[in-house]
Amino acid sequence: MTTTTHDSTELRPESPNLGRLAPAMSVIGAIGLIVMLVMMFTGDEASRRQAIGSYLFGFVFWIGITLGFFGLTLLHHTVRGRWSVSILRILEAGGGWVSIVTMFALFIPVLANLKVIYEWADPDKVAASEILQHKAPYLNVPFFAVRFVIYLLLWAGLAYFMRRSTMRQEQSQDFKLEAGRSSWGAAGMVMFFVTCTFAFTDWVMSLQASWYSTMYGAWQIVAAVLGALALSMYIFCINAHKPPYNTVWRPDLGRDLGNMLFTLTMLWGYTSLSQFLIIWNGNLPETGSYYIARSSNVPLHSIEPMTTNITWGFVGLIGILGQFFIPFFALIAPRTKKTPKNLAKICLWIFLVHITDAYLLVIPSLPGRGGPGPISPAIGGDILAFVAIGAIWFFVFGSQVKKAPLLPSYDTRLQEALQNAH
Amino acid sequence: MSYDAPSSGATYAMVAEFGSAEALLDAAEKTSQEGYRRTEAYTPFPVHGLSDALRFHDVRVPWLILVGGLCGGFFGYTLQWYTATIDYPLNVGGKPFNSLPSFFPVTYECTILWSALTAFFSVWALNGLPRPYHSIFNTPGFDRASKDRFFLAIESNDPKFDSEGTREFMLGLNPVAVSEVEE
Repeated sequence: MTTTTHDSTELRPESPNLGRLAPAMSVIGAIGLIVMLVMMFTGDEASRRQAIGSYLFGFVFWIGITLGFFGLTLLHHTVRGRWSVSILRILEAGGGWVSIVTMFALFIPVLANLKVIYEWADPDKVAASEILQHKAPYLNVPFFAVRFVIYLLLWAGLAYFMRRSTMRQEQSQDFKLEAGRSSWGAAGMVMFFVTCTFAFTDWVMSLQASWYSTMYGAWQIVAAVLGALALSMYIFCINAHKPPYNTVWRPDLGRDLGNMLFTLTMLWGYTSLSQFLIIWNGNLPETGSYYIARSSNVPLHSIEPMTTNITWGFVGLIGILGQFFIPFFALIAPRTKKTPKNLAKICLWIFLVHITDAYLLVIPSLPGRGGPGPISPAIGGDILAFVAIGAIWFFVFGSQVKKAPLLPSYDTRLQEALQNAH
Repeated sequence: MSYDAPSSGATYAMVAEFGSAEALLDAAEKTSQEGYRRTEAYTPFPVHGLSDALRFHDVRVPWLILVGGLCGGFFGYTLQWYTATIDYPLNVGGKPFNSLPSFFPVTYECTILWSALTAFFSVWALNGLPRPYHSIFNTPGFDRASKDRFFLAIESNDPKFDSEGTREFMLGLNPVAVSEVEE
């Protein structure tokens, strides 16, 4: 590293090609999406419902990653963090307006089939349930669609203006743009938390329409941002030895990034446990239904037709150990954060466990999917939807990340810190 | 400024004074490379990278905090378990007497409290505080260590320390002043 010249303003042509997987991803994504669409719109009711549920899981996971990237971008602009300059261009590519619009377009097949998986969208079920009738002023199809458009406009709009501002600063080096992003970012983060709470309530929480939790929005934002930070740091760490990233990597940066991941790990544990603790202590049937559907070996009369083969508790255990205890003790150790290699390993781990976490979140709430347990024949559809939407996400990421230098030319604080250290 | 200190005449350290944090960092790095290990630096504000430059590596406090935290967690849980299941069992909403979820907040808080207390007291104890007398204050002009000057001390119990050689070495670091400080 000492042999590298630190000319921070120079754009480097030999940088890693983060978009090299884009062509392959476009093929996988297109084929996967076509298969999913065929499954969702043809066949009998049961298989269509299953396909739409699988598709919703893939959507919820990847919109979470997209929003996590977007939220971290807002955080970076607001606090003007030095550590996040290293991953800013990765965040902008994965959480930019193009990614957001693409993900919203991918939700349209679900939007066209709301009543197949959301009980509040099915007039027959609403007519039979007093609870759903009470919730109808909020949970109805037209208002759901209006909110969907509002989220799209707010998120894609803000992402567009933030990106335009950084690209302008790339040209003009004008610090006023950065100060403006800091102010707008603060307001944007408030908007982000409020709208994400509504969005996760709409898309996921309303699957079990009689269940509710006030911690839900914050919990899901933290989970999404944790997965997103792990993914963006993984991309950064596996390329940290290549220019331009090698002009900014040093153990201090690894420590800062790792500590942010550590903070989010603790926040995830805190929000998950808080929700469970309150519901467990309250011990009420309607709030307990969420955890009953995710428990092992409990008699289930109140939930839809159930079998005795319920092993969701093991998936929850993976979350407790894999999403909290293992990252907690791994990231508390300074040596984990010292080298990109070690940091990349724990990032990949967190990202993989985040998939099981999202799986546990969505699947047991889908009609007919809780009873058979986590490993059922329907898991093939889940994997296909996850891969298809993920491939499309990576395709958009790959094509976006090429449009700007991998490190902002206007912010050279990291390069300066490295020079001073020598 | 000098203090009326009980002087045994023995040397405590050779102390060099610098005008900037950069000069101190540079000198600290060279001192470590020269092989001096019993060194200490005094600065008006935290200087980034100084502990690395001095090869200062002490992990006793983090490990003590971990042990303190684990003891706190054990204490917090045991206390609740004993009171709720042995000493005074009380049926709360039909829940089991030994309920991990409801014991969690107190267990957690005890872990944090004991960690914090361990951190606070172990830092004091390992630094030998409170200490009303310290030889470093015999250094001429040392009061500026809390204003605008940066001091680097090579203590006389360093195996490489020798009055003349160490003075020569420190003069080569471009200091503002070098002084031999008595115990």
